[in-house]
Amino acid sequence: MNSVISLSRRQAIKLFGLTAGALVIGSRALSGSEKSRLHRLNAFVSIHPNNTVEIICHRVDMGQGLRTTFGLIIADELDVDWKNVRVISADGDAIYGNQDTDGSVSIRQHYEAARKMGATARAMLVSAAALEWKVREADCKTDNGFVINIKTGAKNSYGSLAAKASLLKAPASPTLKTQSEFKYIGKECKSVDAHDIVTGKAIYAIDIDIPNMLYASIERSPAVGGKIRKVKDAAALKVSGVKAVVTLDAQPQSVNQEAGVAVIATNTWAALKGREALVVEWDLSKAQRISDTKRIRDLKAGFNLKPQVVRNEGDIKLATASSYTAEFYAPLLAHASMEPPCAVAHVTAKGCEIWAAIQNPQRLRTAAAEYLKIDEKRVTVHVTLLGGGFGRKSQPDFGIEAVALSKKTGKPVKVLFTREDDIKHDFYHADSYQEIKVGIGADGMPVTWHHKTAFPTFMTVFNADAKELLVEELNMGAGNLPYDIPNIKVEGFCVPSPVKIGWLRSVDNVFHAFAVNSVIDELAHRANIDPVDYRLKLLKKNAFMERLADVIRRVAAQAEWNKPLAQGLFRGFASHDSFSSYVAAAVTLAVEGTDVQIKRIDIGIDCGFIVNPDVVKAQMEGATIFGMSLALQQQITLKKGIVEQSNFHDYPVVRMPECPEIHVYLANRAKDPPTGVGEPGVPPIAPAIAAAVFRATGQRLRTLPLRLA
Amino acid sequence: MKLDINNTTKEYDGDPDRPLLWALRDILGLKGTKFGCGKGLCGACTIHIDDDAVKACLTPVRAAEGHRITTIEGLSEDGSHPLQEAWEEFQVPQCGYCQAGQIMCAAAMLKANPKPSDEQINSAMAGNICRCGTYPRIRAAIKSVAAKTVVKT
Repeated sequence: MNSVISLSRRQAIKLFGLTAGALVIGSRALSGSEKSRLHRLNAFVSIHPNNTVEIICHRVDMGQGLRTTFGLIIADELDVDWKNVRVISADGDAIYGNQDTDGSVSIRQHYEAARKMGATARAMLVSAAALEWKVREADCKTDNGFVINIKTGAKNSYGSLAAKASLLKAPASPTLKTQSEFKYIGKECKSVDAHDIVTGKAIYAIDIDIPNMLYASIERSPAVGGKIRKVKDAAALKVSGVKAVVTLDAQPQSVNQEAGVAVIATNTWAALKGREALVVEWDLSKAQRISDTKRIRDLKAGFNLKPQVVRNEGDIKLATASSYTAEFYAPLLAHASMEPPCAVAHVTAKGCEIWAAIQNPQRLRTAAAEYLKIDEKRVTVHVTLLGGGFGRKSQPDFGIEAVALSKKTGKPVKVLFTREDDIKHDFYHADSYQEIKVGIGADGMPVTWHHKTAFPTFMTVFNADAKELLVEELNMGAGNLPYDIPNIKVEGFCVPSPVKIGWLRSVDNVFHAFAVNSVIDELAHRANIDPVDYRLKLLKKNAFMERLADVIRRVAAQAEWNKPLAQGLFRGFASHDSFSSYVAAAVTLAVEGTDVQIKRIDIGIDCGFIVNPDVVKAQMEGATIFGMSLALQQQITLKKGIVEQSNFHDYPVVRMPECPEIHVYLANRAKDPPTGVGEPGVPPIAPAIAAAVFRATGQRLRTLPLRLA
Repeated sequence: MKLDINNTTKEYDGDPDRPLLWALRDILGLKGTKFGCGKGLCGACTIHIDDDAVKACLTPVRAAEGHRITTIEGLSEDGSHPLQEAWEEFQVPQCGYCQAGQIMCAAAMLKANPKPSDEQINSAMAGNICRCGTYPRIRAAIKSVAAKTVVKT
């Protein structure tokens, strides 16, 4: 007989490796009274008597389709009709384990646990039916939302069983489906959000509207570390709708919020107009007033710092037949997600409620509790849809600004960055300077490889005094060089940044893949060997690199690499492994004057077993375009510590006319676990373009963005 | 001032210089139209005034008086505009934030030119940024609608 226990939160804790936390709350799918009739089978699955299934997605969806993918994983093991599934984004809560959505880990680290959540709930429904029919569980099966009595053919819906099932003990190790039994996993599945998106009903942070809410627009210190000297707010306060002008102190790590002056109004337009009328004098004497030319010199001078040696094999000083040295520079980058950072906070005597486009809701919850000096249990962070994220929205700064302003005004407050705020107050992708020196053997293959890479660490987000790069940062494309070279030394140099550094889609892989692939392309050229063949020859011979080699071969075949191109067209190739996935890209382009016109990009990925193929394809298409933007158009520059760019006219993004044909190859390896998808498509794009530009013009461009002379 | 929005007459007594974007979102409760740049550079706020696609962030409310305003909420009653259906069929959205603007821009283009060439599509859509990079699918969705359209002569 099954013993009756309250709820199976312990089960969730065990499966996800969690600590205890609050109960699941919040539902956009059912109304309040309907929601109260939901029966919760575990932290991730609730079922309504009308057979509606609520599935919690605890990871954050910023466009990578996670709400759909988590929903389909759990729905498949639960064995329910996709039409009846509603996916709810989880609030920030330790009950779910790590919700920090970055590093392309959502599926690779949570796939099995999500399956178990569905299977556990299914087993409990089967037990409930078996109890009702007084038969063994083995005499029952499930089919699309029903438990069926195999002997009698009797059929009970999950909805009718949910109340009873929710009281049963969760099985420790439920039976999982075999791959051949999958109904949704690995198949085409319609997005749970697409209809709301195309009808304008999807809710992003910017769309949150609660009674008595005020709107804030914040003038922040133009350079990091500035202090407010004087605020002239008379004109701002005269703007109709402006309620107050409030100063905000700078917040230290790990919020990293600059000092600011907020114009608070009854609507966005009034706040923006008030801000235009606001005059703030800044004391920038303590700010870092570095300009770009000095910054590049500083990065290069980083090579004189004490090196962090992440790899040292053989002797890089061996004499070789010839040698090749190249230096690379890549600039700071901004994220520029289409929805600028936005959050609403409501601080009351009871606690604090936040609605935010936040990639890391737990971090915002902790930061809000620390700021308000209250127990974290009194802070609720609701996660909306995110209008893009790309790493920017891992940071809680904009959420804490909303919390601070709500506390100061006693009203709910929405903080919305303008595009200018977003570009000028980002946590930027690290700039970098690299040198790769290669000793080449008589056969044209490298004998020694010495890679020096200087860039700022993103650990300054958490610790202002962080002066070392993480090994993980160095192993994003530098220390983990996949080539079989007998003598290798890879050294990192941490050069502190005058601006805030965060992480951007694929992080340090961007500039490491650019430098490494560009050198490989040059070596192949010097050896008069095709760059695809050169890579295949040089890759380490092991099971992992065989996967990269396979993707390289497939992409080359798909791009018809060995076929001659029409006149005026040129090709380039690059490959990179990151986030445990293997990617190759072939670019076909033309050059007119100094204008690079990308005609076609073939990109392929081996990301193990593919859980949601259409989403993987979409992520590869998107990563290709993201890679093109940073390869050809984007850079953040500094003048006396102040970011010079401000909006899409000077921080451009690839637009439709520049978008080439994109062909995606997906390797599907049923026996390998799923690996990263959101980020690994980005790194090979810039070096593949640079290689093609070299073939078109003879110019070996080693600075991003690529600019032809 | 009376505004004709999505075939309904709405009373608006706010600042006539306020951009339509903020009037729609903050005053009139229509939040499908999105803010992206405030400078007419990204197209996230694209709506229709009469049959033209315009950037709501740069259009003052007063300029819309006496004209038909259509937002994503009014493009169809139930998401059945051919472009909305195609957007779902081709699984265009990633984050989805820019897509209302993309669809409104494409709808105006197809109304004026039901059989656009590739170049005409590129040029009509050039003002709408998608940071997620859904352009290949936007293109495919537009082309599928254009291909199904019967042009009366």
